[in-house]
Amino acid sequence: MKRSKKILIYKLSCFLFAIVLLMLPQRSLPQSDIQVLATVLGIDGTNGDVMVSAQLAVPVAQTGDGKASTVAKATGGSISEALENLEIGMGRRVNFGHLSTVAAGKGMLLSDIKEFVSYLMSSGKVGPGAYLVYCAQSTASDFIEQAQKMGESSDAEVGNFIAFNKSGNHVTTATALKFLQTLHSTSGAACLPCVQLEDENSDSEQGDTSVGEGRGGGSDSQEQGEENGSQTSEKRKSEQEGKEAEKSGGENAQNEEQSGDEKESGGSSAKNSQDENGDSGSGKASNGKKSSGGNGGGEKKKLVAADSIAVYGGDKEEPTVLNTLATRGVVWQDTHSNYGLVELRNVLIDGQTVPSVSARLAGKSVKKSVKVINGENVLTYKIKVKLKLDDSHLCVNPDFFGILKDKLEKEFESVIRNNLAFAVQTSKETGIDFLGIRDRFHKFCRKGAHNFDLTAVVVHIEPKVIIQT
Amino acid sequence: MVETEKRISTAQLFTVIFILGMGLKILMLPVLMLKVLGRDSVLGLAAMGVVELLCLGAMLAAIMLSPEKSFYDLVSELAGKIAAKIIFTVFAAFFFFKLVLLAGEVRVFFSENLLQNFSSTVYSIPLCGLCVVIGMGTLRAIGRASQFLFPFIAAATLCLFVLIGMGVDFSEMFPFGEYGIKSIASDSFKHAMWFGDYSSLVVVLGAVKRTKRTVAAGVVAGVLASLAVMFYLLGLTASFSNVCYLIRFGQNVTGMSHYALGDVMQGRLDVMLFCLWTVSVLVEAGFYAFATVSCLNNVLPVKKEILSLAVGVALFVLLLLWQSTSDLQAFAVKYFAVPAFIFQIAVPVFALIITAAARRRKKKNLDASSALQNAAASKSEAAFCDAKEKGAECEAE
Amino acid sequence: MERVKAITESFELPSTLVAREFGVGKKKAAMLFHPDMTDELILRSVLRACSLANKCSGYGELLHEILAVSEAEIADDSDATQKILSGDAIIFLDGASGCIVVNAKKWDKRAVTEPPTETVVRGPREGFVEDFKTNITLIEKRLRTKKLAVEKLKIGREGNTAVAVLYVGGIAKKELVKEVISRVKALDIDAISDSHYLVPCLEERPNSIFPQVGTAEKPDVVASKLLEGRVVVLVDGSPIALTVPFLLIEDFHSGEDYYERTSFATFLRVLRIIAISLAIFLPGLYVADLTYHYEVVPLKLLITVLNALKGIPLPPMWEILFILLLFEIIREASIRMPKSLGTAMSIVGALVLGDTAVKAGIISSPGVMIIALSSIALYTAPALVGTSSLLRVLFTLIGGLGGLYGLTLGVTILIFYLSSLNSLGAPCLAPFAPLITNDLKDGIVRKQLLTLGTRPEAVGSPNKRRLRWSKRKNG
Repeated sequence: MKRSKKILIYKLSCFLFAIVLLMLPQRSLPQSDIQVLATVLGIDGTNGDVMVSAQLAVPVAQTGDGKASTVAKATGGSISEALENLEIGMGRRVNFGHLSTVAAGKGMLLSDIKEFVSYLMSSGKVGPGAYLVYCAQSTASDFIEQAQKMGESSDAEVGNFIAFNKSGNHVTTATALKFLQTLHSTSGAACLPCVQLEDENSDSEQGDTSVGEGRGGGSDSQEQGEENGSQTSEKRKSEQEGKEAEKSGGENAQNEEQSGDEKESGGSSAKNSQDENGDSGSGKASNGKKSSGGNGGGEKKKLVAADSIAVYGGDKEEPTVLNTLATRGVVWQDTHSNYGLVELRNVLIDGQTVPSVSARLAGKSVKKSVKVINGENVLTYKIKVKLKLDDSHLCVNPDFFGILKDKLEKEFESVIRNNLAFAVQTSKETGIDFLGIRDRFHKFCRKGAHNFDLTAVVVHIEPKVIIQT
Repeated sequence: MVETEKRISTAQLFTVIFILGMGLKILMLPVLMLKVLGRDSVLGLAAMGVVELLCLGAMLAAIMLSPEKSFYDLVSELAGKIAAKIIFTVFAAFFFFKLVLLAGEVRVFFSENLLQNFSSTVYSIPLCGLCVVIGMGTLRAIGRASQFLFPFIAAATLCLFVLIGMGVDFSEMFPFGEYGIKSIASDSFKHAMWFGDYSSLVVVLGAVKRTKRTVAAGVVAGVLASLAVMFYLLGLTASFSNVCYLIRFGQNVTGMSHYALGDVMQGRLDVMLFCLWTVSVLVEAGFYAFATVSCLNNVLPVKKEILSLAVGVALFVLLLLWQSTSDLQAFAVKYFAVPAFIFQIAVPVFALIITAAARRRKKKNLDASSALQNAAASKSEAAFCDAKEKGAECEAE
Repeated sequence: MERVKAITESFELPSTLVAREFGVGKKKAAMLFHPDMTDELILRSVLRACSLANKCSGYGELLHEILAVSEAEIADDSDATQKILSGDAIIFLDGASGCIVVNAKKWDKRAVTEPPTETVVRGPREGFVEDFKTNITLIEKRLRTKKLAVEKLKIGREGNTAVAVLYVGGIAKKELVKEVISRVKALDIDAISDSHYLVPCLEERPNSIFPQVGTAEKPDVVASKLLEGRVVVLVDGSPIALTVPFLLIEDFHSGEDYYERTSFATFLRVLRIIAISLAIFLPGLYVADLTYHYEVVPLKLLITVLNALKGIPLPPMWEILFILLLFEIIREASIRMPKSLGTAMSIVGALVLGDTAVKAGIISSPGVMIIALSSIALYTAPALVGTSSLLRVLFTLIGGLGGLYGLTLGVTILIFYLSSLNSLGAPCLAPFAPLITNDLKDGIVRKQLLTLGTRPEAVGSPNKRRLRWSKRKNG
């Protein structure tokens, strides 16, 4: 073939390629004017009457990423219909590309949440990495409204809140995929972290600086926080009579109840997630106040991350909310949660009772081994934790490397053991295998999995705490 | 004889083998196998991977043995022109179907992940354009392009694997063996169409600048590609093993990295990485287009450019007919499993036999010619001696 | 004299030439010259010398004993016309065949200055000028070797432009030299006014948007290219030398790289590659992301950009194309317009068109920023400005119409196209594809000069070793 012909063919191909590109459906070019970005999605109700609420970032003609978001709600016979109605109501297409959090409303049934999350994932609206949270005390709609009012820029507050918790706190988080994956495992149970709206009026009456307003950091505020925590929990206790567990705070009281004469109390500072943010934490809090004020004053609420988790599974359709101690037990064996603050309270050091010793997790490794010994299913947790003391003045103590360090390590080990033992006990009592014990046997010990009985499993907990100085 | 400057180097062969071994398999195969075999897909893939590596070994041996002639020339010399044409028609058909499958999967990958409102027909056209352009190109250009793109592809693959490795709980891939060996074998066998990519190396026979490292490089490339596929499948199994029903074609290839990425507020970096990685699949599609055109070029006395255009048009028409990639995949599983498996094994073995025979023949010819030369030399020597003797005699006289 | 008459009358306008008849000893002689192209002082001195001569037996005596000019030679009659047109004066002796050519050329030429496209902070500042001889001298000054070959050719039926093909014997591949000379000779044209007329002859794909022939305006750059085994083509009247073979990576090299510290030179090269990639792909990527792939952009950034886009009547693709069009118009106008208007024009361009259009809500500020960044980045590789400008328009279109899918396909085709591109046998993507490890020392990374011991293999020089150095032992 002549060179000129070759060139001609090449040109023709290029021309065809250009034509093809021009033929692409240009009329459907999406524009910013007809799209809104969903960042948080809430689902309430059951199949047949679903309400979805979404926190949406709406572009407005101004510079910067200033406040440009709104909350939209819609109902429908199914989740797909509700989402369709949401778009119709907005008159814009909702882009779910940045959807970071899905909130399930209080009391959502297992079959519903399974269906909703499955639909959202398989339709591509929710990515497998989107966080799932459970609104322990309110509807998802209320939760999202509150979230909207929380932040100034408000486009990512809840998402950031959860993401920060995941990376910076010793709490458990659940993603859409992880939730469904564990729910469909042989254990048939999955956890969701709880978030809740806290009555701000009651807190402020008590002079509460509260979790969202910068609790934590210094020892004074810790103390204050502890007080508030217990006060809040007491208050809540009275509010939810007969309920199994206290939510945020209340570690001291709870621990004393459970551990008898043990004086220490430990736990993750899940609530403190916002404090860790430093400036942003206080910023959020003030915004929260502002927005609450704008609410009309009747019902002032603010968002907190409760240190409890809701578990789905067992024979129950409704979720079971674990108490603080069991929650901490779950968190200790969670391999994905490796950072955050843990603390001991009322520790006897050098003849004196120190109200709080806080330490930061520097690393955690969890090994779970399963075997059958003498016909009994035995699960052994080996948890190795590295801690860095926040209260550095303890290290200055000349006895620190001799006695004190060992004692503190033992105390922390005891906390881990108790927390996890309590979680295991709760699991056995409720019949919900939220620790994935059955699945563990199914995966690594077929023999033990054949005649598995959750209540008969012997659990050994071997914590090892190393305090780094 | 393949012109010296038209050959590809060992390094280019390495990149071509890596891309061939990885592209199509990572794109959809893990999803397909996971849906059918659950956690045991890992075992199935490993078994098929071993078979494929053996085939690669045979192809590499053929490459090393092949004299500097194209495979078509060798086959036509040994089996006759008609047989060669028939064989190359079969080759072309097989490579073309692979191209169709690959193009369908690329289309669904992009339509699921990035451009959900686009028509799949319109999608197909630029892809066919790419196949036409690469199809009418040279092997050397493909070799160079894959060599140039290799660092980017490797970097993207590595980044994705780091991302996946950090975010996925690999204990979820256990336990194995729920389906039984028979089921694993039969279901893996059904996906034979997704294997046997190294068969297409027949078009590079005689066109590789061979060195001592050629075989080693080829094997390393194949093993690396297989490991990459295996790692990906492990990640996917660990992520979706209990919820296979959620897996959608195309989307969950990125779903795993999406899951590992977690915080989508910072943007989907993994999508960019996947786009970079997809270049390897596009190069593979181009290679299949080139292989089809090369085979057809030996069969039909038509210009390469026209053949390439014809292949592009045919590809477009088929993609138009097979709007649903799932149907295409089902078709491949249902009707192409046996032929594909046979093809996968037969081609390297056939290539090895032909090249070995050709080499033997060449050696024989060389021996014969050297014997002839020796005979001629001894004859001339004898004549020279005779002359010498005569001369001596004359001198004596 | 018959010959003088014949030559004079062969011109369309016989008065173009001046003929002076005089006597040399007892012989009659005539001088013929082009008054506009010759130096009057030289001619006077020649005439004076001739008139003072007592005798003259022939051209040999006239040349060696009578004329006192340094550049003169005896030539055939047939060459006379051409020599006159080149600015030489011709002396005919009556009754003797042949003539004497006296170099009396005189025309104004530009001083040797720093070329505007290859300015350096460190390093030589000499640049080529339009004068052919000066350019050759500048190269010869740097390569004082007998191996430097300057093959002179005349190209153009009417123009008879002098073209020189330069190479260093033993370093440049013979086949390459032959190929270049044959390609240049094969050009049958009336005249060439610049070296770029020869570019298509030297390229394998003249229609390609990628250059396959390098250009250089500095003698130090040309000298180093000659020493790498490349062939250089100089054209009379052009300050731009052509170098072949040319690799794509050379676009990212600068003469100054070799005068800087290794690490900094490498940094600059990486920077140029990033800048050109940004220049070509950034507008396309921006358009693709804002049209189809919101999820790729971090949320905060996305909201900021979307806020800025709010109220813009055009979709991102058309907006970017519109800004590109504006930029290209301003650039073209600023090159063509009188310099005195340049400042005023830049104010109009930047402020009136840019700022006002943003304020009026016709275009968005992120769009302007993207194009501004892309346009500035474009000039980090001046030789690629044309190519990159076209490519960025193309990729903007592809990004707008096909999103990341289109861009991925586009990039693959582009790389495949570049892979099939050669420059006189050398692969354009060398030393990366094909991978030539030895040449990587002066690819993206510029290794220390003492380690650059060999010439680039991609060029195919038969003499590979370029440098040897062993550390002198102290003590």
